[in-house]
Amino acid sequence: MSQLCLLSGIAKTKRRRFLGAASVKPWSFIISIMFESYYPKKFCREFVQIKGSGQLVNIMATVKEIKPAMDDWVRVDRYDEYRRICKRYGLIVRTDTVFRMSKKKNILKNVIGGKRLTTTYAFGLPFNGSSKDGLVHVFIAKSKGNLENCFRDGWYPLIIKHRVIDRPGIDIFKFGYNLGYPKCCVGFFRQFNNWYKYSYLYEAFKNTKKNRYHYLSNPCTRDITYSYIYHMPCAYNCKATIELARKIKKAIYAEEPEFVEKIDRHLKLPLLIFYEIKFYAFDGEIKNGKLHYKDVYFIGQMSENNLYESDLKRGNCVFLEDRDVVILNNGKLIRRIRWQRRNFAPEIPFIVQFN
Amino acid sequence: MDICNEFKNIAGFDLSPRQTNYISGYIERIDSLFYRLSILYFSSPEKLRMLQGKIKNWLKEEQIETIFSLAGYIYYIAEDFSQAKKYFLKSISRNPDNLDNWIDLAFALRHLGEYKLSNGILFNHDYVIYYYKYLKLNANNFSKLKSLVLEISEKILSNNI
Repeated sequence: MSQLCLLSGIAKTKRRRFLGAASVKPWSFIISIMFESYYPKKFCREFVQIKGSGQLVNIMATVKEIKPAMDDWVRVDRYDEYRRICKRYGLIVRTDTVFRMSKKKNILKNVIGGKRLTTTYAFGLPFNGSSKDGLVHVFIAKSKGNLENCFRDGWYPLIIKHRVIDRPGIDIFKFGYNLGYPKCCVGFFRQFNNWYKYSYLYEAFKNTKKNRYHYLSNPCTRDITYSYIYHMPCAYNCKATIELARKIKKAIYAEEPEFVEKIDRHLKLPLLIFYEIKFYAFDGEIKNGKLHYKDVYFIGQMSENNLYESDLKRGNCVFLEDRDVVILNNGKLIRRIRWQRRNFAPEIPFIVQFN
Repeated sequence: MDICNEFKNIAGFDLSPRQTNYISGYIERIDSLFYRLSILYFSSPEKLRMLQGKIKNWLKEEQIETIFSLAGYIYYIAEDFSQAKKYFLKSISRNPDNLDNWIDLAFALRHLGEYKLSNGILFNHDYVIYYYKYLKLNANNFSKLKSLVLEISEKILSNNI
């Protein structure tokens, strides 16, 4: 996972390109407004105006003090504005480094340790007024103590002088607690956050009783606005996660009831998951192990991972045969995606619907 | 019983000799001791407490980079960052060419609130290592090291070097 999958804002902009023009079919009017930025009527609206809605729920939960702290990424030229908005909501801000995003292909060849990077490929610079572009990594909280704890453990892997510089493992493990994630999930992360061995989302799937997939513990839409949680749960019926999500849902409902309705609708869409950054959401339903659908959305990260959207769009049914993914259109084979063993970021596809 | 055997009896894995991560080597950190101790802290905290009890004796017996780093890691995990800093500085004294020692120190400093200094090392580690050796600094010259790192950071910022 992307370091407890804490990164949210960065990949969002890139991803939205692949969501935008998804629905041209007349019967999918409702789905056409799925996965778009959400503008609250009032509460925390200013944040969306300057940086989109990717971390909106996270920010709302931090303002409401359900979460002790969070980290975020803000364009350098909008930082002052961001800080002013935070102040308005009683949040204090601490800045860390500046991220200058790059492409995976540039990193793999030229950077020591580049192969270990999973979701974020960025060169790092100090935030000292000399950087005019890039994204500044910030930490926000209501209390100074929570902010400091989060900041100290919160370094994010960056490339400095052609080398990936990462924090000690102990800081990575403790960071989850600073963000208010459930202990069981932090422990599970410690055990299974190994991109050489595990597909994390699949491990959580295996750790859940069949058909007990609770929508409040769905982490797949967390980077695209519509989720109550920003961590990877240990199971898709994790009690602590559901309790946390319920608190957040209740707090948001008090401010923006329409937003809650939208989040719930997104969380219940069926999903085809390959691994942590490659998955698809469908306007459809699962019957007898097969997913019948009208439309499909790539909601993973980075365009190079969106390998199957065009095939899936040509079909209307998808299911698994062993580990192969089979796509049909009215019973006719569109494509069989054969399972392949990989030494890094293994893919174990599965279909799931959270209810 | 020697330190390596004692360590293995408690931790359940070997205490390998420290490996140097030279900047010019173009490789990642090879030494996994810090990571393994971090895992141990969560899986068997009592073992880490035992190591913490032993480290003072081991430091009396052996004054080498491996033991200094081990001490730094144990104190870091126990959140005694002042002690961690002290032993990472000693590791650096023993082997300033080892980039891992500098990164370890930088993160201990971050926890101690010495943010500018920490960043100064992380962002300018090549210059810091070069001048540390050139000026023949050691673990007892922390204030000189601090001035050096901050000066390098300022000069980089103003594009003087």
